[in-house]
Amino acid sequence: MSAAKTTQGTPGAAPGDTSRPAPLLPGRGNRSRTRWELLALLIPGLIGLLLAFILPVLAMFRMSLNEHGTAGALVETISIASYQAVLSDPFYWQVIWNTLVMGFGCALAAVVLSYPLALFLVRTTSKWKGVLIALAIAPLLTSAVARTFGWIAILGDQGMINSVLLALGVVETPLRMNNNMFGSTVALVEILMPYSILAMISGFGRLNPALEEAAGSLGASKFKVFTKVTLPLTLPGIFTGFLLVFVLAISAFVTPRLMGGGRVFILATEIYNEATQTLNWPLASALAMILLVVFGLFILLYQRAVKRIDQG
Amino acid sequence: MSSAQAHLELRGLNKTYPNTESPAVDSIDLNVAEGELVALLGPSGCGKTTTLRMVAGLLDPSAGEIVVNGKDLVGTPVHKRGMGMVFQSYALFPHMTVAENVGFGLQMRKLPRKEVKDRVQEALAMVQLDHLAQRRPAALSGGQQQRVALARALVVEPTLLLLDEPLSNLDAKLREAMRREIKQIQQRLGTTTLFVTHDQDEALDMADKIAIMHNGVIAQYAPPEEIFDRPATRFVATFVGKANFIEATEVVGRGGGRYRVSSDLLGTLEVEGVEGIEAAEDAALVVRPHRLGVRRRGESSAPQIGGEIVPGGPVVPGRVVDSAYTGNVRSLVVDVPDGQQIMIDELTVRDRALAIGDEVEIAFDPDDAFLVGSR
Ligand SMILES: Nc1ncnc2c1ncn2[C@@H]1O[C@H](COP(=O)(O)OP(=O)(O)O)[C@@H](O)[C@H]1O
Ligand SMILES: [Mg+2]
Repeated sequence: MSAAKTTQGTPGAAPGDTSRPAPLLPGRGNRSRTRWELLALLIPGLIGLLLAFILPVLAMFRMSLNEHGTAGALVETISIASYQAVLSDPFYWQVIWNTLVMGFGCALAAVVLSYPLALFLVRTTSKWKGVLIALAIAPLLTSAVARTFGWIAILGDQGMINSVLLALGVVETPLRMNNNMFGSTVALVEILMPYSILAMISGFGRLNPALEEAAGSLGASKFKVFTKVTLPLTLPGIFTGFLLVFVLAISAFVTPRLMGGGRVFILATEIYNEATQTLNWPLASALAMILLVVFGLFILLYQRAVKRIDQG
Repeated sequence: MSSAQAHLELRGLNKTYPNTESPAVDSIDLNVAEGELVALLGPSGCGKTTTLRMVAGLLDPSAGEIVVNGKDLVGTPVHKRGMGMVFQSYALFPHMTVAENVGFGLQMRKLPRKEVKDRVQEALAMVQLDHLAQRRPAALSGGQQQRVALARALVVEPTLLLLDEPLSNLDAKLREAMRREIKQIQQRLGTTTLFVTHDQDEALDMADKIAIMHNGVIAQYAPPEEIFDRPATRFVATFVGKANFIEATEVVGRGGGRYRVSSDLLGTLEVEGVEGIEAAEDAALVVRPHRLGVRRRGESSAPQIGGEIVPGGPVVPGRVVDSAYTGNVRSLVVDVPDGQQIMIDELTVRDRALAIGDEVEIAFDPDDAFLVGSR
């Protein structure tokens, strides 16, 4: 009986061996074909990215290696003179520092202000949920320029707040809330909040009312439920919101320019000045490259942080 | 692990959700003795989850009392009730390991680190998951997640264990294994348990007592055998098991839950029934399909019921109109004279298959008929 089985098994295995590569080959072919098809789908996007992002950045990098002649003429060369000029000048270090401080300030404020809103919007069972979310991001319908002028009307020396305070005699001279970092930050936070709300709402996917109830049933007070369950589960959303606002804030130009009244020195405004006023394109390009490196660093940090959260 | 045995009593517990007319839970009373496992069984939407959430403290009752060991807990927040709850979705914390999940309740009770570790270990051993302590819930199968949820709820030595459809996300085989496991652990620890399910097999298998819920009220509260053999209402009879109803035309009470019942189909019988039935209107005899005997008309042998010979009960002629084979059991539908159809489940026997169109005789045993009233 067992002998019969073996004799039956052996010839059975032989054709199996010869036929084995056959089904595998088309399989492998299929897989690589679909892989190429998927890559082909990316081509239009990649071409767009190449034309609109990679080539300009390369051109900018090339420009940053040129020199600014004494007569203001552009000298085609390969040198790191512009980078040296930036990095050896305390003023530009101050500008980089200002940029980072403003970025952090905006991101922190926007996240703190958006978090309760986003939590509420995610949790509400109201039939108006959709409308409420639309309302929260409705400010995006107005241009940032218009909203910045709105803030000038509120925070300016003759603005709403100062008029009221002066009229009430609370202050003698107008509070300086405009033409400085404070005004720029306040306006930027308000302008960027819709982005952080959106980022958080989409990042709160792991939150689930049953988890908070389970924590409660296991003896966690409301505060403990928040610190042990709600906060850890919403951290990815918080990080995404923070990064998004940070990146948008350090690259913002219109609002710091208008609210800063020429007295807020950050990378975006300095790049603009060098490019359009001084006409020192190599220096402007070097500053832009430095800003790009700052972006890159923070995106790296963000990815590290998110990975850490996912793993523990 | 041990358990301080608790006694649970619901008194007139009511929940009416805002903007709804009728209450989701309508003034129910329920008494769960120390160490008992009670199943809340009913169709979807009958108010089981609402009841359980009120007991847990996740939902405020509109009225009534939740008394545990003589103390009314209404108003006590969820985290101070000391109950253990297993959610339908398990609700394991995705950002914690299995051990951290199980230890969460002990941590909240501020126990020393060493004790937390030991008790987590013990609880995981109880559900045979000690080897997976450092895994994340996402890396566990459904059955394993279920067991972690159970260990997490039990490790705190809860006064009450509350389970909301804990097995409904598992496949059939695993579900049966988990039934036994939960039941064994519950019996070993002696934890008073309230178990919500819409699955009658689960309730019959696991529960010491079953509370059948229907439209927010408890239709019957009794041990499984009694629910099945002596259903309190038509709803209970149809919801738990299959039931034939034979409408009564005349009912005479004989005291002690016994009645003389006349019906067009069966003539007059002496049967047991729900106490307090006064009129024949809407009263009916419940007869379970598997308690009926059936034979081909003209066959000489007596009809068989569960292997026993019928002791001279009524016999009704009929004609098979449907026959479904399910392996152990053949389910027949038979047209009988008064225009009614009778369901019969007979154990399959070799060389005997009643087919559609066969003329048959159905044998009733009065002891297997039970009278239910209008409700
Ligand atoms: N939050 C709520 N608001 C309004 N009605 C609800 C709410 N939750 C449940 N209900 C209603 O209460 C009834 C009982 O629900 P539930 O207790 O979840 O039933 P079950 O668990 O038995 O399926 C249902 O009719 C349901 O629609
Ligand atoms: Mg339910």
